[in-house]
Amino acid sequence: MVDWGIILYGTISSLFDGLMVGSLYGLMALGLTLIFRVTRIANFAYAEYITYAAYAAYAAAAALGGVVGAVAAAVTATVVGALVSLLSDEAAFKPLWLRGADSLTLLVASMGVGFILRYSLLGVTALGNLPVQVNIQSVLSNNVLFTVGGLASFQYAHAAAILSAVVVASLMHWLFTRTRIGKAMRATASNPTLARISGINVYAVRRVTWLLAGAIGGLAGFLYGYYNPVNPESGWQTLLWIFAAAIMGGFTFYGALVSGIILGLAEALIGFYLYQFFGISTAYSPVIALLALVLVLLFRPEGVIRLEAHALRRRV
Amino acid sequence: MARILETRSLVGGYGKMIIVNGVSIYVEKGEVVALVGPNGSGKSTLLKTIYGVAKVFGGQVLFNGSDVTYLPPEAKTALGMGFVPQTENVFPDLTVEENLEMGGYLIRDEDKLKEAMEMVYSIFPQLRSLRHVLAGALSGGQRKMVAVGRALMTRPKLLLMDEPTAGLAPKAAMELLDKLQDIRRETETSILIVEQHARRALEMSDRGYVLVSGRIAAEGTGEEILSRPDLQELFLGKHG
Repeated sequence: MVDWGIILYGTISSLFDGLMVGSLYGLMALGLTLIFRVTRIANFAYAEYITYAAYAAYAAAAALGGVVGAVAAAVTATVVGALVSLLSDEAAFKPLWLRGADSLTLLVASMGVGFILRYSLLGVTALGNLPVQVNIQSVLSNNVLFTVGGLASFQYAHAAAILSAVVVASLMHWLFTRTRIGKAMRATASNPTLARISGINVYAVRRVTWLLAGAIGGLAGFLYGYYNPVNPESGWQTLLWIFAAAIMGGFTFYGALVSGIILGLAEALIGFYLYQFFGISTAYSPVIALLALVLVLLFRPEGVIRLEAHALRRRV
Repeated sequence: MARILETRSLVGGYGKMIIVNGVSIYVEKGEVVALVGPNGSGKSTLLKTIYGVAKVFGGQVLFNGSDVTYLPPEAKTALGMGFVPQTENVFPDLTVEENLEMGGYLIRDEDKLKEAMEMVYSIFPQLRSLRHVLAGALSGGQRKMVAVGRALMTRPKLLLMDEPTAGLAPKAAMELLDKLQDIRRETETSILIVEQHARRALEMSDRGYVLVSGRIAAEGTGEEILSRPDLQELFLGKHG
């Protein structure tokens, strides 16, 4: 017997959760997209900026508590994400790039940077008084915005994730197409030597890029940690979805956002139905993301969204 | 007349390879100076060394009398120099208008930026209708206009041009060289130009240098160089 009440509330609940998780994937993919577009690095260390930020957010929230703690956690996470990101470029990627490293070398280097960051954090949490697994929500009060039938709840964390993702994606698009620094970022990506000849300080542009990407990852880390328990490998374990969203989005900002949400919704809804109707464990739901990625790479390698392609066609 | 550019025994190249080997040249204010010579003689490298894109091993570069030898390209542009590289001289992923905007990156004043853009559009009217097209989608000739236009945005006091006509159909090449006369009139820019059409370049220049194997082999007015029988094959010979 199928209980249609459970199916209904489960569907609404999965929609809420899928939207939130998907928005987080999208938000995380925005930073990865930014780094890739400006420096051509497929940055595997990016996930660690998110983890570091989540831990920093926890520390801030635990220290202050309440609404003040929540705001402080968000700010701290953003700042820490930005700094770890900038530091990893200054210490590893920029020196390699100046020596003429190609994209593949930088990709492998990013895995190495990721390893170092990941297991340093594990070391720190093992030595210090931070718990190996943190949960920001457990420190802050968990506010429910509204519920459907008292079962499917929509929390502040849902609203914050969705809003942040949409706002940041719009801001990034505006930055790239309308502002002087954004255009300089594109110019630097397009032809670094000519950018310098044009008077652009490409090193400053690079710093802004990494700070911004890290800040986006940091904000995502705070939001992720608000809803999920975080351990030193959390970011790493999310990296597949982040890359999937960025690749499916064709490394465009709106593309990353929409792809992330599609991934999140597909995972939540399909996972829920498979469990309800066929008794298949939700532990298999990551397969959905992988499958989506493979399908996109096979049939639409330019990304699911062709916003940018449309824009170009209109221009010519 | 005052010298806007002077190199003293300039040595430059890439990595550990020396290509330009002790070159001393100068450009006076308002002059057009042509740099000619066979393929591989180091003409492009000389321009890149002057601009700080290639490596300086020794010697000096003076701009307006001050030493700019080791300044990076962005600083040289800020001082009033401009450079049109031979290849990769546009931003292919940016529109024509954005290319010009980037050329005027150092102009902070919005009105002055618009003014500079109008100046470029008046020299290359074609670019106005193409302003929303990506530079990567343009034809070779149109792309050269963008490349030159980009460098003109800051109204440089000195413009280094590396074979602006390379790869162009003869008619388009001649048109572009004619435009240089307009540019000189409109912007009062001094020009140091590397040109494959050596004869044409020397005719339109005040003076010229012949570069062979990274060294200056001859110098003088266009007529003097063109009339020297020993240099004839450089311009009219096998690869005329």
